[in-house]
Amino acid sequence: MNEDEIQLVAAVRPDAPPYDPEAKAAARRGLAAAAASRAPARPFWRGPRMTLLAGALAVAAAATGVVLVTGTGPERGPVEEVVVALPEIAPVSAREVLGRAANAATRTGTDLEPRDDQFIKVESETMYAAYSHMDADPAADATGETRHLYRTRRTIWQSADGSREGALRVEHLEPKAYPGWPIPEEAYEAVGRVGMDRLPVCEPVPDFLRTDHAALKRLPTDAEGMRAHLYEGDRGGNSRDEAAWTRVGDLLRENYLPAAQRAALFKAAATIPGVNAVEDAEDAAGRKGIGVGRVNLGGVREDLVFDPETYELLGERGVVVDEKLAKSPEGSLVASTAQLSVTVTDEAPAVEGDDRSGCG
Amino acid sequence: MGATALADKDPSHDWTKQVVTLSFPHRAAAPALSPPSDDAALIEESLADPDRFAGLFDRHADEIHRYAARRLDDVTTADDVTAETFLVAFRKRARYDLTRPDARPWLYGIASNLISGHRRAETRRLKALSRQAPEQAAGFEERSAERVTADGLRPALAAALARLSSAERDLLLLVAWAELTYEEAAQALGVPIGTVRSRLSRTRTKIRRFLESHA
Repeated sequence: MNEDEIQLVAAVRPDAPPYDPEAKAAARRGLAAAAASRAPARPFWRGPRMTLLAGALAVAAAATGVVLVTGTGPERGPVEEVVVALPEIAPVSAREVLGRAANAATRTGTDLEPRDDQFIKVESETMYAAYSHMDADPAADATGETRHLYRTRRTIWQSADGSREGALRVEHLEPKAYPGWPIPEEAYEAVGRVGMDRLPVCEPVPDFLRTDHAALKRLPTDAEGMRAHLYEGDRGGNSRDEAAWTRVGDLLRENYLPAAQRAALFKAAATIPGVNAVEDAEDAAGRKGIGVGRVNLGGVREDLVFDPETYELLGERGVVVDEKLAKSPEGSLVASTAQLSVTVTDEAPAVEGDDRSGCG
Repeated sequence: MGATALADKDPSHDWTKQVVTLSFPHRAAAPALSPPSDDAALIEESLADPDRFAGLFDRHADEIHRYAARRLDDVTTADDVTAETFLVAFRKRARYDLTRPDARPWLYGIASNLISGHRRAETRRLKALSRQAPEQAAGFEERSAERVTADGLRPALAAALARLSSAERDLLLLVAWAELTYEEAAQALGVPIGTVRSRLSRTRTKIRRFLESHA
C-alpha cells in the first residue's frame, strides 16, 4: 500500500451539486435580517415583489374606474381589479392578448441575434418598493417597518452566453411614497448617486434557472414545452402558479428573448391559472399599454405591460388589489418599470474592483 | 433576470441592499459596497456596522456550501448548514481573531461543527459514496493514478471514513476535500498544529489498516 491515504480520500471526493440561487439568496437575506437584529415580519422573499406609483397617481387610478375582469380564472375566485382603464373598452382575455403578442413576436422579423461573445445592453427605469426595519425612524409603523418606493435608471450589459463579465450602471432618482406610508429619511440618501457594478461570471446554475441569451435560445419554441419550463423545479414559495408567472417576468426583464421563444412564452403564460388582462395599463415612462398579469399572495397585481399595437413589452407594474395583505390602499401603484432600449454591443464597460460577489 | 445591487459606496447606506434583495429574486446577493481588502477588516467593520457582514457571505458562501454538499447527502441540509454557518459566525464575530486576514478556516470550523450535527445525512453520504460507480466514461489516460486506485477502493474507503471518530473525520476531510493546509485546519478546529499532525497520522494509520483488511 504505497498510496498516501489522504490522497486516496481526496480522490474519492464527491462532486458538489450547485448552490441553488434561491437557497443562497434566502440565506443571505436571513443573514441580513439577523444583521438588522430583528426577524423579518414576513418572509422577505415572498413579499410583494413589485411596488411603485406615487400617491397622486394611485388616486387617479382608483378614480378612473373599477372593472371586473374575467380571465382564465384566478386561484381564489373572481377578483375585482382596479385598473387605469377606459371603462368603455371591454376587457379582453389574457389568452387573446398573449396570442396577439405571440403573433407579433414572430411577425416582426427583426430579431436580435447576438453572438455568444457579445453583450445585451438594456436601459430601463424602475420603481420598486423598499422595506426596511428602522425602529428609531419617525416614519416607522408600530412594528418598526418603513416603506417607500425607490426609483432608479439602469443600464445593464450582460454577456450573451454568460462567459464574460458584464456591468450594471445604476442612477438613483428621487424616491416616492409607498401609498399610506411616510417616506423615511434614508430614502433620500442615495439620490443622485451613480454607481457601476461588475457582473461577474458566475458558476453555472441548473439549466432551468439560466437566463443568459445562449440558454434562452435553446428553450422550447412550443407553448407546451415552454409551460413545462415555467413550472420546472421547486422554486419555493406557496404558489407554483405565482412562481411560474414570476418566471415569465424573469425571462423578459432586462434581457432579450428570441422571437420564437417569446411567442411560445406568451402562449404558455396565458395558461397559468389566475392570469388575465386589463385594457389600460401604463409603464414607468408613461406609455399606455395592455396589462397582463395575476394577483400575487401579497395582494398586489403584477402586470406585464404590452404595446397595444406591436405587443412589444413596455414594462411592468404592480397595483394593490388587497388593502389588508398589501398594507396599502387598493389601486395604489407600488411598482412600475419601463424597458427603454434593448441593443447588442461588442463590449461592456470595464468596472474596477476585485470582489467576486454578485452571483446567485 | 434581476438586478444586481445598487451601487453604493458609502457604508452607512446599507438599506439599499435590502431593497434590491426584496425586489429581485435573482442576482440579489451582490453587495452594494466596495469591500475592504481582507476578511478581518470586513469583520472588524461589521462590529460597528452589522450589515457589512453580508460581504463575508458573498465571498465565501459558495465554498462553504460546496464543502457541506460534499459531506452531506441532501442538498437541502447543505443549504441549511451554509445559512446557519454564517448566522453563527455573525453572532460570534466579536470573538474573531483579527490578526487572521482569511476567515475561511474559521468558517470551515463552524461548518464542521454543524455538519457533525447531521449524522444521518453524513452517514447516508458515505453509504452512497461506497456504492458510487467508478467513472468509466473518462479516458483511462486522463485519470490520475490515484484516481484509478481510489476508484477500486471506493467502497472500502467510504467504510473506513464512516468508522473514524467525528474529530478525525472532520480533520481529514478539511485537508482532503476542502484542501486546507495543516495550519488552516488547526485554526478551523481550534487545536494546536501538533495535534493536527498527530491526529492525521493516527487517522491515516486507521485507514491503512482498514484497507489492508477489507480492500
